[in-house]
Amino acid sequence: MRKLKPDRGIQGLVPAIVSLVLFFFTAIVFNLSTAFNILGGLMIIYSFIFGFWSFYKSGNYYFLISTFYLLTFGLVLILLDLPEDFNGPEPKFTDEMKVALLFFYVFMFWLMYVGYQKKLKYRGREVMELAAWDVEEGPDTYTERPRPAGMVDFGKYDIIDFGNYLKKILACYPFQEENRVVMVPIKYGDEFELLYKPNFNYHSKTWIAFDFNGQVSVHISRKDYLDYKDDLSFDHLCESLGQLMITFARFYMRGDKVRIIDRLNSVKIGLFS
Amino acid sequence: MKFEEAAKFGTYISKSYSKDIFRLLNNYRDISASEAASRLGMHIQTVQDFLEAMSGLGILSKKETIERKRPYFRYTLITQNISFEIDLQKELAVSGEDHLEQAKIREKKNAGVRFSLARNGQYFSNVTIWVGKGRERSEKKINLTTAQGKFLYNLPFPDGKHLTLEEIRIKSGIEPGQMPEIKDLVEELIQYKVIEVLN
Repeated sequence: MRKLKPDRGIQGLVPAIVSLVLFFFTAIVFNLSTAFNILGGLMIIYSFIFGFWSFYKSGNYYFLISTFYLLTFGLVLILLDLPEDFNGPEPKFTDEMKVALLFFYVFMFWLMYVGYQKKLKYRGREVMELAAWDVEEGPDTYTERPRPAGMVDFGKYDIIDFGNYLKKILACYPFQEENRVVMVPIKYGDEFELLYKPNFNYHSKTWIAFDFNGQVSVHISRKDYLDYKDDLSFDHLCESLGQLMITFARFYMRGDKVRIIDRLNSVKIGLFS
Repeated sequence: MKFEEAAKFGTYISKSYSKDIFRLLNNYRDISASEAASRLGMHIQTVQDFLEAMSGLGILSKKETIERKRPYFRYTLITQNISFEIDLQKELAVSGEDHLEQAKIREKKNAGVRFSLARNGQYFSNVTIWVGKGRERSEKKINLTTAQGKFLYNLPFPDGKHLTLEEIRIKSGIEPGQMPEIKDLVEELIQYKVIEVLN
C-alpha cells in the first residue's frame, strides 16, 4: 500500500502551458506562421534549458535525447511553411524539412521508449516510498535533527562513485563536502529548484550522508515527512531510509547496480510523479 | 570545608572590618557583640551577624551569659589557624547528577528545539530552545562542546528506544572523562523539556 500522498503537482507542465499560451497569443495578435516560429524558438530554448542543462547537471546521457528531440521539434516548427490556403493542394516539404522531420520522429520515438523505461524520471518518490515500506504509524515523533543510521566500510572514492551513480540514475543528487557525501533524493517536480536555483540549500532537504569514516546519517525534512499520508514512526523511518541507502551502496560496490534499479522499479509509480 | 560553608566564610572574610574583629577576638579572652561594636564604632547587628557566622563555622565558641535581666553571648576565638579547602570533585559530584547514572533518556516529543550541525556535519554545534510563553517567549541558544554535540547527535529520537547515558556515550565515541559536561547539558535539557527521562 502506498505511504506517500498522490502527487498532484503541475510544475512539470508549466513550460508546456506557457508555450501554448504564448503560441495562441502570437497567433491571435500576429498570424499562425509567426506563432509557429515563436513556438519553434521556444522549443530550441527549452532544449538547452531543460534538456542540455539537466544532462550537464546529472550526467544522465538520456537527457541528450530529450535535448535533440526538442531541438529538432523546434527546427520543424520553424521550417514549417504553412500554406496560405488550407483547402489548396498539399504543400511539398523541402529537403531540409524532410531531414528535420526524420530526426524529429527518430528522437521522438526514442524519447518515448526511454521515458517508458523511466530513464528520465527523478526517483525521489520511489526512494521515500521504499523507505516507508514497513514503517508503522507513530504520531508526534518528528524531529528536525539527523539520525546516525549505521556504518559502512567503503573508501572515500567508492562513496563518491556511488553518489555519482545515484545522480546518473536520478535517484539522488550528491553534494560532496570536506569529509562526506550528502545525497539528496529528488522527487519529480522538485528538480527545478535543484537545477535552477542558485545556492540550493540541500541541508534543509531530506538527505543521506556517507562520511569518509563510514558513518551514515539521515535527515528527513518536515516537508517530506508531511508528504506521507500518515504520521509515521520517525525513528523507524530514518533508520529504514539509512538502511535502504546502505543496501543500495552494497549493491553498487559488488557490481549489482541493476538491483538498485529493480528495487526502484518495484514501486509502481506513474511516469509523471 | 563544604562548599556552602566556604561561600559563607568567603562572604564574611571579604568584609573590610573582618580583620579588625579578628584582631579584637585575638586580643580579648572573650568579647560580646556590643563590646566589639562600640570598640570599632560599628552597628551592633553587623558585628552580631559576623560573630554568629564565625561561630556557626566553628571558628569561635560562644557562651551564654546572664547579666542583669537580659542574656547575651560572649565569643572566644578557638583557633589561630583557619584552613580554607574545598574538594570540588566531591562537592560537585553530589549536586544531583547521580540519579542520571542509571536513567534512560531520549528526545522528548514536540520538544520544539532546533539543532544546528557543525561544519563537518558529524555533530551539533548548538541547540536553540524556545523558552517562555506568548509575548514572553524568547530564544535560548546553548553552544555545545564537541563532546556534547556528538552526544546529542546520538540521542535517541522521540520514538526511539530509551538509552542510558553510558550507552549513548559509547555510541558517540566520547571519552568517559567528558561525562561531567555531558551530564551538565543533560540536566539543563531535562529542565527545558528537551530530553525525557525514563527512571
